[in-house]
Amino acid sequence: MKNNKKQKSLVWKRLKKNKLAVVGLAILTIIILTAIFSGFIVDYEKQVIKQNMKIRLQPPSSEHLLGTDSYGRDILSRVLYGSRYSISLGFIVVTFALLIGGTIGAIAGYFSGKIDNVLMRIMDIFLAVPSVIMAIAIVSVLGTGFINLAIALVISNIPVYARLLRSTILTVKDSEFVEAADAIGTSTFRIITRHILPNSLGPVIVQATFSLASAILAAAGLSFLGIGIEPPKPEWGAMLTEGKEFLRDMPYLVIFPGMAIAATVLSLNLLGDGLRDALDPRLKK
Amino acid sequence: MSQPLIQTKNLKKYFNTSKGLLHAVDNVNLSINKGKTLGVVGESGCGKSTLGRVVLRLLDATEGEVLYKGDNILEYGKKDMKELKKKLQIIFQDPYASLNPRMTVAQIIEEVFIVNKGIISKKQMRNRTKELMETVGLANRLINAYPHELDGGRRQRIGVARALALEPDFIVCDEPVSALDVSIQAQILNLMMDLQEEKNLTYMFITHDLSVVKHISNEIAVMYLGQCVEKVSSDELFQNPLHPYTKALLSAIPIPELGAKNRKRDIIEGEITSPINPKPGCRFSARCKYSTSKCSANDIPLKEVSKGHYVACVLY
Amino acid sequence: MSEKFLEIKDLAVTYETDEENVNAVNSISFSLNKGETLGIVGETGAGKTTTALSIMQLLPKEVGKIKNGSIIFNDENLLEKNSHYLRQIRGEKISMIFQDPMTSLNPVLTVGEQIGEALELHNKAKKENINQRVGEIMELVGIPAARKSEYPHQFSGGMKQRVVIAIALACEPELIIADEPTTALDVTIQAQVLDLMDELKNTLNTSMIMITHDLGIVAQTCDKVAIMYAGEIIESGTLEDIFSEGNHHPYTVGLFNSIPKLNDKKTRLEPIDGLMPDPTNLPKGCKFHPRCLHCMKKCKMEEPKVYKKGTKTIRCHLYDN
Repeated sequence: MKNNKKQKSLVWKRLKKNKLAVVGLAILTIIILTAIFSGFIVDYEKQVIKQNMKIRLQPPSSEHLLGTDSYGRDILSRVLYGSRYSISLGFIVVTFALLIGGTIGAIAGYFSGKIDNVLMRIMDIFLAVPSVIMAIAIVSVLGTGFINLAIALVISNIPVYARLLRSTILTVKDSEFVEAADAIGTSTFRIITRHILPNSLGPVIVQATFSLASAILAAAGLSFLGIGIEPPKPEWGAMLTEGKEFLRDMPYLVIFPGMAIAATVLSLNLLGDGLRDALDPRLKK
Repeated sequence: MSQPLIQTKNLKKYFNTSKGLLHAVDNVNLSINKGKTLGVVGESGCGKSTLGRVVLRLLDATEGEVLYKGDNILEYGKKDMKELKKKLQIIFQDPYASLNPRMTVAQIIEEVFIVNKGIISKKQMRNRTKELMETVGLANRLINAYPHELDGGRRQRIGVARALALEPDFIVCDEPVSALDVSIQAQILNLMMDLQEEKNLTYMFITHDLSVVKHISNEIAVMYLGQCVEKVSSDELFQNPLHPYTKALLSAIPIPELGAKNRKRDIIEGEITSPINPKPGCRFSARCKYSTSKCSANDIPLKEVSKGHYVACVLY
Repeated sequence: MSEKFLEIKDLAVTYETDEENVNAVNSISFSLNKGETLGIVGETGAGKTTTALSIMQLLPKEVGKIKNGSIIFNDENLLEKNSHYLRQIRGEKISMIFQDPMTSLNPVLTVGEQIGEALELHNKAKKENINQRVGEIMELVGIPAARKSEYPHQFSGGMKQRVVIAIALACEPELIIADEPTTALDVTIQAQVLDLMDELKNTLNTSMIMITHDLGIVAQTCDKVAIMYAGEIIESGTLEDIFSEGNHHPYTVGLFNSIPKLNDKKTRLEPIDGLMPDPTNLPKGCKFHPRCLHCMKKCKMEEPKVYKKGTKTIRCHLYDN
């Protein structure tokens, strides 16, 4: 166990050297903590969705730090609470896309031949449709809502993981240690799960951080278009839609949720870049 | 005459490539007696590694037979084969690539017992692993080390330990020392010879290095483009090589002695081609200085020219 | 014509990485005369390649640091020269042949263009003559000149290495550094390439540093030999000094005993026990002492001095007076 720690700490050490990645990690940690604890910090019923037309469209003040929106709701509370949707949606999408896409890719990569051809051509069909358009199509069939949005994004992310896993597995599967496992009589399932998959994870981790970012962005985008999470839930993209009518006079309605989206996506991209460098032994200085 | 432990009969392995049919192993007949070592020598692309893998059924043969104690193992079903795999093992060339980088020494060796249930109980596993590590000269303190923390020699010892774990009769050694430094190479060769003596192991020792093969083998088969061109006892091969290719191979080895500069050498021209859709006749004839029209007329079978000395050449 | 034209004194190189400092070369000195071939022998991690890269000043940037010493080439210390000057020396005066012919050629340029590039960079031929000169050089290394418009992937391994040699020879350098030039090749091809290099060296009167782990190659091609262990030259001398009986460093003896010999009857080899020391944490005293059969108390404490006799040097306490 000691040595395993050593290997991990080496990655951590290299990651720490990358200032931008550390900044990304710090921002992301804050956002995730916010998402977890926002339920305790703000009261959903009273602060997030309760309308109060008397105080609508107020600029930032000591009472409402980021001002209020067109229904008189506190923007700070809504932005904080909105992190729950974005973060949880991101993680759900990545987890399921990885599980399903990864399995498809693993099967295609390991067995190659006809199975590979059939599976990957199906994935190609999915890839040929732009993911946002695909998501719009799926949501318009299933209807709006958190779950349906998640399903749409999972489906559009599956081919990405299928391709990634297939290609890493293709390179790992010809290694001598896989042949060695075969020589001692290891079953195919065990060869894949015990020998091939653990050695294919590096690129997957990196891809996961990037697609977490793109899923969050896509969710915001779809909500902005009005086919994602429906109001009055304070999803960041939906908040942008609500604010856009007042863009000229009350730009902070759009600026704050926009900044939240940007910060989340940026932090994930910075972290992903850092991880890619830290996990790649060839870049070792 | 006792029965050979391993025997191949007209063994063939062809690969389909975009350029045509690659005759990686073409009509190879070999036999190895128990406790002996057969050296298989040849340059890259001669099919020696493929041969080793076909014998172990890591690759499926195209045609021919592989006999283990007289039984054709190519006809074995999945279940019988899994049993048999315990008796037939392999040591790989690259001690860096042949060990799973995410597993510790103990995990790599114990994997053998986990995969083949019922050999020893879980409790005994750790002890057996330690025993094996001792057998191959690995200190017990390395039991939780990862391969990347060890040098090539130690890694190759793990490979040897893994191959020994199931107490096989027969081990294919695919260039087990060519990735190692000379001083470490000698350590591993000695280890393998000791183990052979102790456990009465049978080796098929695949290598491109003639000096290594001479050192460890009883008999040597020289391969060229998928075919065996000469087969004879190790001493005889070095004293009295017959096939022009064997002669060229022998004289190409740089000898670490004074006067090596003035040694008369038989350097052959040209390069190894690849055995894709080969024409009939001797595959070496294009590079051979004794080549005549007879060479390319028909396939040339191995012929016993003196007792135990087989050669495939029209000169004899 | 036996002047020293390359002299290396007390060269020390360290690789500084995030995790550790690797002492790759520790204070080595040697010299080379015109027309001579020096063989540098050693196992993985002995510092052979690092030595070669230091002469070419091609150590990995920011990581490889020359800590000490001088490299005198034609009366000039290369370590004091700027990169512009060095670039002129490289290829024109000193050139290098790398181990792997598969990766040292550019796959998108024809071999003719790659050989011509070397000539062009150093203005060795007029534009209109380059084509003809490329053809000449190719014939010299045994490739038909007609193949100059082919790409590297159309050549076999041995032929690629000939192309690499042709590039190295293009400007008729005074010194060629060959780093394991035949390790990636089959024996029959190795024999062809070694023969070619030997022949070319004689006709062009070039000096050569041959880096190898194979004592057989040394016996066949070199005039002088330096044996490296853990970043030091532990023994050096003429070919006769090293390959004949007499006083030797225990490591040299061990190295010879580790090689299976073709003309011996089958016997057990006598390998050197143990492993190369970790270059980040070298042992005190003689660096070979943990593996040495003749280890004395002194060996664990003091670094041995260089013992000289005629052309031969040995770094070992056994030969202290």
